[in-house]
Amino acid sequence: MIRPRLRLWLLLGLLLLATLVSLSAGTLWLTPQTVFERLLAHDVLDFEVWNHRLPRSLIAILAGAAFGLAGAIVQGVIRNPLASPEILGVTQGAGLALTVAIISWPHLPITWLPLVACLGGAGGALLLALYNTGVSFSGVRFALSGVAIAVTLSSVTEFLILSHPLDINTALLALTGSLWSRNWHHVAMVLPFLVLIPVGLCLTKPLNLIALGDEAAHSLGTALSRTRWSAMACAVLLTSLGVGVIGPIGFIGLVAPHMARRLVGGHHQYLLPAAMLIGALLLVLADTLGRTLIAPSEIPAGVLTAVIGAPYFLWLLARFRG
Amino acid sequence: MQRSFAAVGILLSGAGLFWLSLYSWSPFTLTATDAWNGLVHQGRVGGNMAYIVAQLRVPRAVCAALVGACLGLAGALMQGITRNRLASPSLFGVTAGAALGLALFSTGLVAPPFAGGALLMTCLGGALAWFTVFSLGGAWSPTTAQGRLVLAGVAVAALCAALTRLTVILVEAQAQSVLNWLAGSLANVGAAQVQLLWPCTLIGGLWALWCAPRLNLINLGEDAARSLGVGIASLRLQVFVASLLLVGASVCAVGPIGFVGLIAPNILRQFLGNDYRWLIPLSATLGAVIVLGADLLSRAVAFPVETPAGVVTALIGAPFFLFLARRAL
Repeated sequence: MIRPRLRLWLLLGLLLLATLVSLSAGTLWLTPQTVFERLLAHDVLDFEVWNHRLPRSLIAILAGAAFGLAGAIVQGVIRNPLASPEILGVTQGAGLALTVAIISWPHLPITWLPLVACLGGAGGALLLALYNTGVSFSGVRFALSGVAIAVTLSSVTEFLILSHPLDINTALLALTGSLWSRNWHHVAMVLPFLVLIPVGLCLTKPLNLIALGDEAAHSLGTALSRTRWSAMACAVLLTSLGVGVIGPIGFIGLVAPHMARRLVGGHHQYLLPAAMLIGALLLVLADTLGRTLIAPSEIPAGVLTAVIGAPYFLWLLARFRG
Repeated sequence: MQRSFAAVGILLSGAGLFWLSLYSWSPFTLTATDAWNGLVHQGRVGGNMAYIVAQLRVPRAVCAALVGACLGLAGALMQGITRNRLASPSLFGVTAGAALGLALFSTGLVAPPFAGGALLMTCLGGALAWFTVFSLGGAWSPTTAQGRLVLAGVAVAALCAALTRLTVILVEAQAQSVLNWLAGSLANVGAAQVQLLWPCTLIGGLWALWCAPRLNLINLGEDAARSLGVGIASLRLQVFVASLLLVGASVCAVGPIGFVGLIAPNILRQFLGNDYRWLIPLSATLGAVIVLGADLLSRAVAFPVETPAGVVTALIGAPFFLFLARRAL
């Protein structure tokens, strides 16, 4: 099986290329050579690259990878191609928790936000689990219930934001789904990904077994419910942390695993890394496009991912029979 | 008998809310007397406060009632033609599509330079969204799961919302205004919006009433309806045009107000059964009651700041959707 591995390397190369482009692109265009020189020299001139673009790109790579990985894990556990963190209510739960926290404790330090987001994301997922007790996790029904939860949570968020117009600015900054003005402090906030992502990658073997079907997985020695719970917890943490730092960015967790599956097939030892790489690539591209298309103003990355991701979801839905 | 009671009850509560919304929760201290002078004498008697009622409050309340009627009618029509209880302008993405059309018009990106251009754009946006949802969701195939259409609708709504944000950002670059755009508020309506709304509501409402008996037959199943002489394709087209006109006019006047078309017919179904000859007119009335109530609440929750009414209806409607989705599964 050389081809999936080769494709993974290709994806990694593409990601590096995209990162280089995102370091050079912006209101002020730099040549790649200048970027390197400034990064190495680390003098007064490197303010733009070192303080703005590099942290942004790092956050985009880590958060995109986390969203992609979380999506692949969720789809692997639930075995439903329409599932993804934003359809499970995780993204919206995290967004709601962030809004409540920002409105009730305006002086909360931003380093607490990822923790708050994780609590909210877990709450959203638990709500969905409660709502669906005794119902199978497959098919359109499950996706519909997830969407209903997501719509409910986001309507509460919107209500809170719009009925507190005076505290709105911080909330909006956290909730637009954008990498604007993210800096090294935020990079420190995404560092837990360096632990969570390897943990997620460790799920390769159980996910491969679950893909064989519940009975086969059980008879091959998988503790099904424990595996499910830990995998879902991992996906929830990955997504909520990302939302806590850059706000709800939709559709990456849905699109990346599907693209990965088409590229490297369904074996999770290739699928999980590929989904991560594609997620990172998508977010870096969305961020770069967002800040170059109408420079000097910015299009939030979340808007661009929705413009690409929603049609993809529609296409999936049209093909999906189940 | 139950039907008449329901009708009288809804009408009375509508009248009560209409009266309340004339003078309560206003940044000016208005009294019931001012409201009376403003409503009956159009502000010629009673000084400044009565004039405020006549110029601002009466058009606002009338607008709320008309928008609610439009959305309730559209919801009942869509539920009738798809035989899907989750059908509604907001869950099928039609409202979001219409809002996109309005955003394109108001920012001047695509603005037909004649009177009614805004209405045309909202109707076109809604039509495009509806068409996408129905063709990708497999609306007319007999085996389609009910949820599939809603999933397609939610995705189309997400797409339209993103495009709307994009449009507004391209022109204004202010996040706050985007949110108010997408939320649907009655804060700035006046006589012009009433002028736009009432003919559309009247035409759409009469058209809907005319379709009602045939929707009852569709409810028996499409084969049965066909054998009883209903032209299915023509009925679908009529319902499509009528509901687009209704949704388009309401979005054009006050922006996207969600979930009214889902709530009103489904509440009424509990009391009235599935007879569309009653459901349609009463959905219009109950829709009006809901939007009037939401507008009152929207002024009350963070007084004196106004919360957009669309957010209040979403706050009520989304849990309702949750409840209905559980039952539809």
